Amino acid sequence: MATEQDHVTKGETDVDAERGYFGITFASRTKWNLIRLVTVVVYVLMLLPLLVIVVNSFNPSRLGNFPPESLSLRWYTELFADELMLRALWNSLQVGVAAAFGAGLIGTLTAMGFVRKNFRMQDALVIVLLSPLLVPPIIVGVAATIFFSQIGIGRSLMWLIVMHTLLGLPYAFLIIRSQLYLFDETLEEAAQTLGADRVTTFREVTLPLISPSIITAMVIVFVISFGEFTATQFWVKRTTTTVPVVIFSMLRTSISPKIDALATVMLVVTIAIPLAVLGIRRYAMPN
Amino acid sequence: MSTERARLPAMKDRVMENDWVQFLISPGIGIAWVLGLLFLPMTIILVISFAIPGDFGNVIYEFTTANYERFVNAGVYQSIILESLMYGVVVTLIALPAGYTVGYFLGRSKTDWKWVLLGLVVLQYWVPFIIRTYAWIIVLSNNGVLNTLLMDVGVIAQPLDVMYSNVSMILGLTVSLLPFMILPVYVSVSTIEEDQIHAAKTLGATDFRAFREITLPQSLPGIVSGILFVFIISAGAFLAPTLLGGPTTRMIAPIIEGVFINDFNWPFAAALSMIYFAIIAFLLYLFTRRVDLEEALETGAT
Amino acid sequence: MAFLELDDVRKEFGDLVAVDDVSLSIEEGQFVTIVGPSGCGKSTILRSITGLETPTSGEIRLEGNDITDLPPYRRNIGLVFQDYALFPHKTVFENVAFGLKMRGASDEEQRERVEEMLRMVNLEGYEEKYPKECSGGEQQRIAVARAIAFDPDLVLMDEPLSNLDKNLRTSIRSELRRIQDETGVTTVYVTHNQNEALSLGDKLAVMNDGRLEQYEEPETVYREPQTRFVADFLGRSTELPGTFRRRNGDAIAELDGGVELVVGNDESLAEGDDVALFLRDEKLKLVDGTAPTANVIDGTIESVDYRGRDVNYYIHVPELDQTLQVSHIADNSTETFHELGDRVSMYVEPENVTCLPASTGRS
Ligand SMILES: Nc1ncnc2c1ncn2[C@@H]1O[C@H](COP(=O)(O)OP(=O)(O)OP(=O)(O)O)[C@@H](O)[C@H]1O
Ligand SMILES: [Mg+2]
Repeated sequence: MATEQDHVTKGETDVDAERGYFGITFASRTKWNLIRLVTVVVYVLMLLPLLVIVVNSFNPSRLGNFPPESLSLRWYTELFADELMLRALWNSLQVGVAAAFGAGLIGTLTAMGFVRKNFRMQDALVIVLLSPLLVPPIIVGVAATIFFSQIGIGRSLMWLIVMHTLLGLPYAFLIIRSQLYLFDETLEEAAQTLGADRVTTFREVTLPLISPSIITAMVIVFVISFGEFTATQFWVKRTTTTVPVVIFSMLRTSISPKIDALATVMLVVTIAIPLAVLGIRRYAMPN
Repeated sequence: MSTERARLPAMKDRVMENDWVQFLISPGIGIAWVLGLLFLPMTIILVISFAIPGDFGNVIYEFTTANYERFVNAGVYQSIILESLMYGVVVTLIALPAGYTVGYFLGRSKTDWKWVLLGLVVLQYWVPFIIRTYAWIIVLSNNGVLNTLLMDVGVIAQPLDVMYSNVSMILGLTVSLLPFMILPVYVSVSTIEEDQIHAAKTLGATDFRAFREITLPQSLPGIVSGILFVFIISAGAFLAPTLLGGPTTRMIAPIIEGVFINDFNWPFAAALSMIYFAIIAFLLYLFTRRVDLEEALETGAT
Repeated sequence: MAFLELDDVRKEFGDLVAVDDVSLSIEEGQFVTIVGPSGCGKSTILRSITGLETPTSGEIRLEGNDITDLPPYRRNIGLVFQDYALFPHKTVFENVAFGLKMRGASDEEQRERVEEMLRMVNLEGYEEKYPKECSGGEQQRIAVARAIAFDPDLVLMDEPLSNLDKNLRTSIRSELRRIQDETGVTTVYVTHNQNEALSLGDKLAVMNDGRLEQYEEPETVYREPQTRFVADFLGRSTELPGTFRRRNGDAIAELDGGVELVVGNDESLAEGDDVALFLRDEKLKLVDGTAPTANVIDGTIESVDYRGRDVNYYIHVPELDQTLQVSHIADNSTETFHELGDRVSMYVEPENVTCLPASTGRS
């Protein structure tokens, strides 16, 4: 019989690590298998429906029988001929990128203030800053719409950018702040004694060193902005509509595989862009 | 170094070194953003909730409590809010064990697939809600993938009528929100050293005892954060009840949207929003008496 | 007018007084060392001089100009940090050139000056490395090069050697002194290491609890400490309480156990004053053959500590209820070693006994 040590070092899973304990071996194993089963079921539930969308988008049949009898790009051709959809895609990209930059910039400045300075009501102000996570988006949507209409500002892409920046700000703040906690402030002090003013110090020292977290934050904000619907539905007009809003209104009228194609495009954008950015980040900043 | 320079620091320095200027830039700009675009609008809808609705979204600024009276008198809105909270609880109660199990698996398993599996959860987290919700329509509807397959195989003769019901809504919502439970649980479980568990077991603890005494308490921050996010998002969900729900599914977000968009009754939509917000805020307040809200949000968002 | 003057500089952090009205002046080209126990305010003083900290009150003048409120980047003062604070994302070249770049030096000037600096700290060819690719000692020298490269009016060093091992510390210490001699830059050096304090500077400031205790040449500070704190802090010595007496023109300290020692005459003391006596270990000598007439103390050897070249005897003196330590150079040919339990006598020259009023600077 192998020793307990062997199991601990060799153990591939918890189960293996426990194989040596008589009596409970079988029970542990069953439990672990149960955990595995639940995990598999959850993954199937999470991923299979998405897979169906992707496969269906290549199904030329209007009825979308599954599995498809043949594959074609018919719906993509229709999709890319539809001006409204292209417009929505373009709007979504613009808003997402702009909100990412907005929340990245504001999140950085804000996180720096909270980490570096001591001021009154700091704890309460953190909650203020995080409140966009707590207020249900339906209320954010209604409140902003009423607010802008009362002060007489019409719907525009700018409106979307400003509001999506707000929705992404708590994420950006938290992500950047957690890296700033690890940042060695004496580096900034060193730069200052060497003659760098505050702006230069930020540019030369702080920014390069916290940029990994800023990039991560911007990616997350882009993803949030790109997929946001509940609040955004109140904020768009025909020319500033975004992809989720278009999908929603298509679903209301008729279900066509064109939706699958659009959803697949959205899926690709929302996964490929972050992965590409994070990949480039890893490549460009090895540490 | 000249005397003048010492006595009269450059104008730029004086501005940049001013504590107030510094505060306004950092962190002031972020605080201002939230105050101006969330707190101010919320204040305005609070005001408007006491005004009289005009035609086509106009608001007649005359003080009235009619909107709130309508809420109190027409019991339907009260039960809708209550039902929303109930759905929130149900979804949370399903997502907690399911998400915890997966998070625990990812935190404990040592398969080479772990990073792939983890990556899939993160990707799932990135997929817009609308797509995750829509996916269930194709899967569950009467001529959807599930029914077609089952009928082709001959398991059933008639399509299962699960779509457009509370079941499909809860299913869609729960699966959509699972990443919010899985990821924080994974993070807190994976930081627990396995030696602690082995130690407990060598001291005679059963699997279950070891789990209860060691793993569970240490993964509590993940659980708390998961519950917070799943509950708030599901109780205020809009897409799932609208797209997947059935005739008896009633939730507050679609109702507010209906009052706002279809009825054009802004003051009443504002009143409903304020009431719902007050309830959420109160629940959060109860929540913060036991746990650190900031920490919970941080665990969930990063 | 001195080059750098601190005038009643005070810094409070809430209730805590980190620097307590310190006045200090430093001449151009001097190498001044500040020493004191941890938390006594050394770093706070340096940070006030560079502008990273603004004093609560008091004034700092450089060449007569009040720089108290000037931001650090408008002063021309180099600072070497305890943990070096090298920019991890910049190469050695970029680190050393940073101050020059901030002052608008051309690429050519930067290259020349950085090369010169790296030659001075014996790190030629390190330009393209990153700090994390350099050893602790190398990083330390890069930090020094960076703080000097832009030709500052003043260089401050905050315990720059404390992260290095002992051998490296000794060699870099002499290198720092050489660099200072070569460049002639006025230097303030903070340490809590006595050896560094005594060997390195032209002048030595001893601090305790935010206050400046003594500020003189290192030798003077060592030989004539002015407060009990300084006497106790520098070197190893034994403190003995007693009473001051004048007899036949001699100044005498009557120790509490009945032993009397003649001390150097000090006009400021009066008959009957309570005093604290400090006997430095290395000034106590064993009586060997001819006994001196005064300042002899008898005791029993309690333990012996052989250290190769010299021997430390721990000698218990019953009258004083104290154990004194005597270092003795072992000269193998003639010496007889004393054994445990031997009764021996020791003496100390009157001018080597430090006698201070008991009320000055608590130790
Ligand atoms: N930013 C600050 N806020 C509050 N207290 C501080 C701050 N900086 C320093 N202190 C306190 O001021 C006192 C002096 O600190 P300082 O760093 O100057 O000591 P030091 O002599 O450099 O000590 P060490 O040898 O340990 O470096 C300490 O008690 C320290 O805790
Ligand atoms: Mg210090």
